[in-house]
Amino acid sequence: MRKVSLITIALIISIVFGIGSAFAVIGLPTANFSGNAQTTAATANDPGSLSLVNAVVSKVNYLNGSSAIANGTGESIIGKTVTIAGATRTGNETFTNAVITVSDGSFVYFSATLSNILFVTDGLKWYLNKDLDINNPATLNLTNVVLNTETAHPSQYISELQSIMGTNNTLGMKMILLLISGTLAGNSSSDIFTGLIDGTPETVNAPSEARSMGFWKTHDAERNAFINIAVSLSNLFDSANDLNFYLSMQGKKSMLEKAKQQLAALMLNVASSLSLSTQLDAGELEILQLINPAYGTGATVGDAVTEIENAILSNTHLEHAKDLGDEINNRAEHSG
Amino acid sequence: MKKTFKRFYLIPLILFTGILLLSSSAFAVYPYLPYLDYTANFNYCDGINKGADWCKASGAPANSYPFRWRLTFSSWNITGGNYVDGSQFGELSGDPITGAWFNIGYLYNNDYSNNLTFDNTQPPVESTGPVSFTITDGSNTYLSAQLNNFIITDGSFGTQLNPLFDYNKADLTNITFTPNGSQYIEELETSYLGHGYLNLSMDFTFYNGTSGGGYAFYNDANGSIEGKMAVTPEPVSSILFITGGATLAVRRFLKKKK
Repeated sequence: MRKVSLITIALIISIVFGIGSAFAVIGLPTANFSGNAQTTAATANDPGSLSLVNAVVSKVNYLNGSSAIANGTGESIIGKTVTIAGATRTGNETFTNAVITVSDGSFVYFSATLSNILFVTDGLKWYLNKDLDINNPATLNLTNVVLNTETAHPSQYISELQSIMGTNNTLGMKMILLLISGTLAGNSSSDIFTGLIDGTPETVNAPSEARSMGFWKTHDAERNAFINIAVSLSNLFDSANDLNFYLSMQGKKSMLEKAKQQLAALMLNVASSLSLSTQLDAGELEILQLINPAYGTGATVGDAVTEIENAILSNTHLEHAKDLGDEINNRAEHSG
Repeated sequence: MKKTFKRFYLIPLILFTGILLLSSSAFAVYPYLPYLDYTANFNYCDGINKGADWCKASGAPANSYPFRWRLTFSSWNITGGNYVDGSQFGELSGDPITGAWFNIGYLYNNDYSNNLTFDNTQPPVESTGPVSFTITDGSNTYLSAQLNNFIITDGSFGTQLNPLFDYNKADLTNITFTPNGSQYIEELETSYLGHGYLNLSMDFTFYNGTSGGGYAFYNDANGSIEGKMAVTPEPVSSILFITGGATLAVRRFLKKKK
């Protein structure tokens, strides 16, 4: 009885407070759209449907981080109509695959097949593809993407999408709805809280083997992709902020800070590609033995991490700890 | 027997009510129409990793970080919304407020142990001070107010400001409404005077920086936002209404059983 109560309480708490999600990544360029969405109920003669009403592109965000909210030279897609056609109801919150288009009524800038139409709710809003992440193919719900632009219909947004997609024709789309009337399971009208057509999958390649401290300091996408894993593997850094602090230190540093800086980069290497079971080479082993002579051939990156952490925690052998981290982080250079 | 049954239903009921009252996310109430929809871009500089371009001040001396812990917005665009009757206004059918923008005072991370609460002072001073808030199109000011309790959540539904329209988060107070021909502002004023709470809600899309799992705003970040402004009901009255209704229903059920 007590066990059942405990499990129930745990379940309630996890539902109430939510569980932390993965680290969603959106790729530029993107387009935001706003307007309304409608669903119709299933009847004897009609299975019901999902459609957009008065939905238009309200903003585009370019590769360089700038954005446009009005048309001008080189952009004419703002204000163009976004439609979803052929989304037939298959359940209370599910619909068949459909076609999404952006057009001015005659010229079609964008069309794609929209798949996996399943809405989930947080109790207030309804989310389509809430976990959209360019690095997660399972969340890319737009296929058969066709893009068009011409002199009479210029669009920097479409041109950038074309250039970045290449032969890939997969994108992602996310929508958050706030009901105005009715229920999603039947007839309803909703305001589009968030409408987002994502950029192309911009794969963050895991660096092979190991990268230098300088690499991790300057490559935001790669660092952000692996920093939380690095923290979880570390006995020394207790947050992403903490790791970032030491990694990005500049100017004059104490030996302790230098050792921590190299360890921060080493943990990012371990988190991304460098296995803890990788054997140290001769040069690395030599430095490790200066910290702890008990090690011999076969010592691993995991052993090095342990000894660097111990050195930092005990405030001894700090220079050797810094050198060992530096040597491993730059092993690609040494191996030629 | 009767006593045991009563206890059996009373304890879970009290527990359930307690959870609802304590939790901001367990019970959501629909905001009142009219709605206002907006988009913008955001930049955040945490002052530790100073590598991001948007955190560098041109001409600033070395080791000077004027944007430290600051969340700023740009490229605001009010895209439209819905009137009280549910009908839509926007780019296709205008209200003069369409195309206007928000002006929000500087928002600073409260402190390092709380990366999701923002106020009007730069750390280490911790406060819950409000920031200024106006809606303007450059020549007309439609609304001016104080924006309070800018508290962001970062979890399974993404990074959001006030996702469930809590009446005491991202709330606007000391409001002055100036319609300037906007039917939306007229309707908003009527609705606000009738219900007493006006709140913002935002959904953040990150192009750079970490988001999800509670790590948002731990490092430099930028991206875009979409959101809504709406009049919000006070949830406590709704909870009491439902709890009272449930109690009455159970009592009626027990009486029938007798």
